[in-house]
Amino acid sequence: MPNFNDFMCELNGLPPDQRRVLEHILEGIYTLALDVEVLPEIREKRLSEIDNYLTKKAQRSKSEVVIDESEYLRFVRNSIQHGSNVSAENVDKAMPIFWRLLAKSAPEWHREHLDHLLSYTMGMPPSLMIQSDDSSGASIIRHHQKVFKGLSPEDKRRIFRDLFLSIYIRPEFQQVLGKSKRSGSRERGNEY
Amino acid sequence: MAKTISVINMKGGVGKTTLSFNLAFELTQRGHKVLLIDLDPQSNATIVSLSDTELAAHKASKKTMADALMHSYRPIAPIRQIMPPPLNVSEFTFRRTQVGNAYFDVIPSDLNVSAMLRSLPLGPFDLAHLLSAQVVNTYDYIILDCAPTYSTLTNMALNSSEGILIPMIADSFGVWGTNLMKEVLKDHLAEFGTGPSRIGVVFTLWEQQVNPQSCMNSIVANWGPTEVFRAKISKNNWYKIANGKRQSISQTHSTPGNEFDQFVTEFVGHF
Repeated sequence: MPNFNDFMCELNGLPPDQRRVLEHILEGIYTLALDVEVLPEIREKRLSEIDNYLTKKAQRSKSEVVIDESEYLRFVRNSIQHGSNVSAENVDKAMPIFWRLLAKSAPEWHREHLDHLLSYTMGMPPSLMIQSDDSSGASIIRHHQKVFKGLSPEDKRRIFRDLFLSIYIRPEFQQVLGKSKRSGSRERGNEY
Repeated sequence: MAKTISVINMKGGVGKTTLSFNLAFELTQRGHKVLLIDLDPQSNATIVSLSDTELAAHKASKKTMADALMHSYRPIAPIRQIMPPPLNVSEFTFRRTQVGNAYFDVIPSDLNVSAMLRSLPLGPFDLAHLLSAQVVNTYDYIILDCAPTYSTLTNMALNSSEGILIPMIADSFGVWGTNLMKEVLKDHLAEFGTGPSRIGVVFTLWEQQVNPQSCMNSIVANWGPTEVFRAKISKNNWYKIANGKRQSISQTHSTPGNEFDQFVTEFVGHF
């Protein structure tokens, strides 16, 4: 649990106007918490209001992360597609997001097509697991992700380019991106 | 022993001849012995390999594919006839010299091939009379530049090749046509019991855009990762310029030349 001094330290990094507003709010909360005159039920109510606010704020932050992920992938994909400079750090950051969303899209795929596309873009022969009837889209993705993880950073970036561009435009992947966006918007809409 | 590869697609304008000619040229540069056979009555591989004067001189003293078809086709089914005597391939070949002492051989075509097709029964035939054991042992690669149709000529090519290279443009027509080729090959194998064992699809006139990428995905998903080349031949006007000069792309411009070089490396490994 952070103490009051921790908050004050964080305030030092803010622009002056934001700092003034936050100082005012923190002073108010501090006063409220120290006010021994206030009735316990009123103090309870105020603290409950603060708790509600923080809970909703946390939910919104979570949905914004989802929105940011699909938006972020779109930004990286457009940069690669149109030949803009995209830093290695940005590409590296997109990799785990891509694999996570691809794993989510597993049920949408035709197994063989998924295996073909992943194998082709990663420069691998088709995986033998496709011959087994019980291999699922998820296991095919896990197999390729494992291979990908074993690559050097340079090879990862080189291969990710083709892999990402190919998979990104597939309707199976777009469906998951769309769902992420929709769920993000819905949560945000409920809040306001 | 030569690997016989047909460059084939029933769709026209996909770059079959450009690919065949440049392949012949680059394989020769790498030290391989190459024979390029023009199996298309439109004779584009002939036009890009021989000047008008050279073609006239060749016809005055030698033969073309039309003569080969006229004298020595060999039906392979339903009744295998007596094998006609092998042709002397040197009566057909034109020696296309390139940088230094390097050269590849070309068997030219002409419009008479089209006339021959009208007089030939439907076949099936192969080119064994022309590609005798001696010829096959002379070359490393025999490249058949096919016509954009499914005809007796295409049948001959498929019956005589161990591999086929399918150039395709990544658009909706290309996807349709290339998938159709898959059906043709399946039917061919079922009907004749023989056919190419190795297939490669290569994207030509390639543009790094969403629609071609999407079409490529569709082909990779359907054909599988081992049958689609990773190297792509980009759309580039230098190919037209090179063809007009009867030069290879690497002689004309280094950027597409380097790209084509990557394709040749993959080609050699693939077939």
